[in-house]
Amino acid sequence: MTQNTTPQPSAPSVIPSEQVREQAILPWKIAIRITLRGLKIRLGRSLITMSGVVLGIAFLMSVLTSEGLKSGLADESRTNTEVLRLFKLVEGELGSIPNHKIAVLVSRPITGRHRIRLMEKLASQADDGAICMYWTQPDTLTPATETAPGQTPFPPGKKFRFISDFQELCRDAHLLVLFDEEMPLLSTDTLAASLKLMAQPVVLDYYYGRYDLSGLQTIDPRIQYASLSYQMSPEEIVRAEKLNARNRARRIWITVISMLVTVIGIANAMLMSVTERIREIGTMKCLGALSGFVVKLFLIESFLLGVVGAVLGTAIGFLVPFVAYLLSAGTQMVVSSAPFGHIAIAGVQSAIAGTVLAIIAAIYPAIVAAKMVPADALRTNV
Amino acid sequence: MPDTATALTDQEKRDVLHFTQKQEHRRVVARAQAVKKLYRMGKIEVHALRGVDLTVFAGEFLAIMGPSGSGKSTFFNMIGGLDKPSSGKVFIDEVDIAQLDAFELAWLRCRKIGYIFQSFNLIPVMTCLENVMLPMTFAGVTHEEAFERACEILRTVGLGHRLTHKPPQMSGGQQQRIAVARALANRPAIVLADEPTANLDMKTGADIIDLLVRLTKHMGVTVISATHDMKMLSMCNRVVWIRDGTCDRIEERKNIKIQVGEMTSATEGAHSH
Repeated sequence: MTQNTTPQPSAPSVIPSEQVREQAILPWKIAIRITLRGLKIRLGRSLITMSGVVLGIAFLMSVLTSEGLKSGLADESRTNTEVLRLFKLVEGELGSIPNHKIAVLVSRPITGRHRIRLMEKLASQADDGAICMYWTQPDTLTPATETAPGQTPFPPGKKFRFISDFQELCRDAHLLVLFDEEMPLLSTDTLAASLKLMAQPVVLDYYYGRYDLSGLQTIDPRIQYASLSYQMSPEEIVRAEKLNARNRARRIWITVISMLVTVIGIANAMLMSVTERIREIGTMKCLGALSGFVVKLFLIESFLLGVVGAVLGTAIGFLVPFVAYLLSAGTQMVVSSAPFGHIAIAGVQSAIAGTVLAIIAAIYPAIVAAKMVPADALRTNV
Repeated sequence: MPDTATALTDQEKRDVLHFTQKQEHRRVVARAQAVKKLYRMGKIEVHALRGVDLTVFAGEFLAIMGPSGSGKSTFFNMIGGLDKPSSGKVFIDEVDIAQLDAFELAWLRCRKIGYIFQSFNLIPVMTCLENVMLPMTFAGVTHEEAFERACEILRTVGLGHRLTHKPPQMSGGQQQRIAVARALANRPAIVLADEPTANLDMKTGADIIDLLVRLTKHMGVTVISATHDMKMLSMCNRVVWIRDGTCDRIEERKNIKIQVGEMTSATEGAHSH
């Protein structure tokens, strides 16, 4: 008898129990090494499995992206129509934008598609320095005399002047734009007094009724007043709500279907890649692998395939519809309207979903196979 | 036998006989005690084993014979710790394997038992060398040492020149040599060979048997083999006949007459083909 590695004890129990636990658990390092080598060796098969994940996630992501881009474009064109309506109104009153002083009351950096588009349009046509701003910083409520770095209420600063006195701001102005979202900065009386100083009191209101401007009209009959909050008739509201509901239902339906397609596609790819290796798992167990180690191998493998596949899928799923929209709707239009924030969130979500799904779909059969007695696993034919 | 690397010398053949004669005084390495196995296939119950008793001694070469469906493979799996009996006990090195937890069972399979299968069961994507290194990796052997040892064993089985080839590129005989090398990688006490020659032609099968006998005898390893192969029978010390899930009888090899691949003895109806 030659037993070189393990000394043969004469006592009945041959299994050194402390040693067993120490040595049976293989470290992650070795598991990762084995997995990477396995992935490299079966590169072709791994790529096919991964392409299942890539396609699934790319499909989901492209649906989400094109939905986002489409609604962004719809918003943009609706906004443009609205801004154009207001602009026509202003032009109708003033004749033209150049040669007129424009006063803007603003309490915080201008956000929102409507406001930004309107300001862009005004800035593009007004004379240099013709747009004056009365800007109170929201924390101090003190009017700014000049813009503090990084605190500009509106990005392109070239054409703006800052005036710290509201009456001074309104003096000889032709158009007053009210962006006061935080709180009414001025009393109605001050507003009324200031409006009287204007050369031609045309007021665009973003207050949504915080000031009673209809009352002001009785003070000065010259006042032309328009609100950006488009007032819809009750029938229009009902129709819009119905349309909204239909669109939302359609969007949910498409998202759910594409999610299902993704889930089934990925689960199928991963399931196949594991079940065809059940005999291999049985063999490994015969060679002394613990179930935990086999599961560990598949966990690492499916994680790697899942992450790479999901990220790749997300990138493809974003780029394809994005480029398609760029070509069909025009770069300027798409870039300015795309809800990149939402698309980014959808991207992160689908990448995570893809990874998790890939892991679950691979780990479940791996656990089942690893728990089988080796005899059954070896008998399995796929 | 033209292949001198694998053929048995007369001395080795005498040694085999010597083991046979001395086996009564040897240590018991595996023991089956009233082992029963019941498979449920839907509503039908299949009694694969109806109570088998067997004692295997250290260093002997034991053949398990029996027609297909006799429960031979099932019994083989039981004694190798690959399956659990429905009732009865299996002891390996006097340890009841039913009492072992997953860790201990893995330890046992890893270091005490080497497996050789009919269909080789190599990991197809791993090279010859990696296949042999795998059980050593599981045993916690360092990469360098495993590499050295695997090379050495593969040279011994005559595959020193094909270390980086993958199993599918190799012939059945060569694949089974890898399997033999893998089974012996951790220097086990028992080698279980499940019809190791069934997928091979006569000549290759004979080579594998010679190799197996030569290596295991050299290392003092006990071999338990399920087989139909007459060549295998001629090499073994004892033959266990399994029939209808029971142990029909156990015979010393010297009591069986084997003539040119045919069997003429009191063993009626044991051949299944």
